[in-house]
Amino acid sequence: MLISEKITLFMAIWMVIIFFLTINAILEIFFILIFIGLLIVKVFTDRYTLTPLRIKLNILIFLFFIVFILLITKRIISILNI
Amino acid sequence: MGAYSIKININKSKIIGIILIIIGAFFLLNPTIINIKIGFISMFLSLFLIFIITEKNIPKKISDSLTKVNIKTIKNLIKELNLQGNAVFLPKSDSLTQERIFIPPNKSGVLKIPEIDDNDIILNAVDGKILGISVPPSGLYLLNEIEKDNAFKNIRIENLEEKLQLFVGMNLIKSISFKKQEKGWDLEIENLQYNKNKNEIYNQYPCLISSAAITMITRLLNERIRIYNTINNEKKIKFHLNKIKKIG
Repeated sequence: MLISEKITLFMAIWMVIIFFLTINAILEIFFILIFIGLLIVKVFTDRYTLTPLRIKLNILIFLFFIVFILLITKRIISILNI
Repeated sequence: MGAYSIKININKSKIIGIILIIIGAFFLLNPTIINIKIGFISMFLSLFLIFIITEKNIPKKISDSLTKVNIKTIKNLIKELNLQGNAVFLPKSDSLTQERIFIPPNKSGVLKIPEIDDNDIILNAVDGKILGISVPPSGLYLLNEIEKDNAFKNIRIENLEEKLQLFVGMNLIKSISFKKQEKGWDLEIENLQYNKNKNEIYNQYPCLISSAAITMITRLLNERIRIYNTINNEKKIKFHLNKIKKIG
């Protein structure tokens, strides 16, 4: 099995687990847990991946990071009642 | 003339990815919390299937069979010349534009490496006695190819083991380790398939991946590296490597 296939398989399993764990939780927790899964994948596969795959994973992490910032901002705004 | 063709490379994973996008879009169009989650999972997985999953360009069996021809030719040459010595990897030098493997005639005794250039294959003494052979390592071109990747830039001997893991990531081998020992290094490779009978040729002309790894070590250290011996244990093969100092 190729490393890219292993990464995809891990993320699929991770997302299904997160889906069932957060079935009654708010969306923010669901997104953040998926983001954490992506970071775990990045850390554990970095030494096995060539540059093109690393760049693709970095782009995904960057996109998720933007979503993460938006979620945090939204939460801060709601707490402060601005 | 003027005929253009667009090659659409759609494979199984991409088809599943496209189906998942459609499913994801369907769920996202009916936005409840559960639907958003399912839709997002579908969309995100489709991203992985379309952009992350890479395809093998050549089936491994075909690429393996190409190197087998090369190894078989060298094996016949070694047998024909009755060479007993273990391989010595020679670094680039003034006379060598690429790394070479030198196989001496004897396993023991003083190791004499004659002056070798790129065109030398069978090395003869003035009296016609065979001094050994000099051939390019089987993994040389693989190494040259993968060194183009940025992941292989700035390699030092200290982080070599980490960089060698890329061979595992490329699904060429199952595992690899490289450890410093008192009198050299141990390189252990777990192949996906391994035939025990190949031990002798591993001492003299290692397989593609082993050869690429040892050539990399030779290149990094810019030293002559000898395969002192090899130990095989089912699928694993362990190379004891040591440096050879140039005299004179």
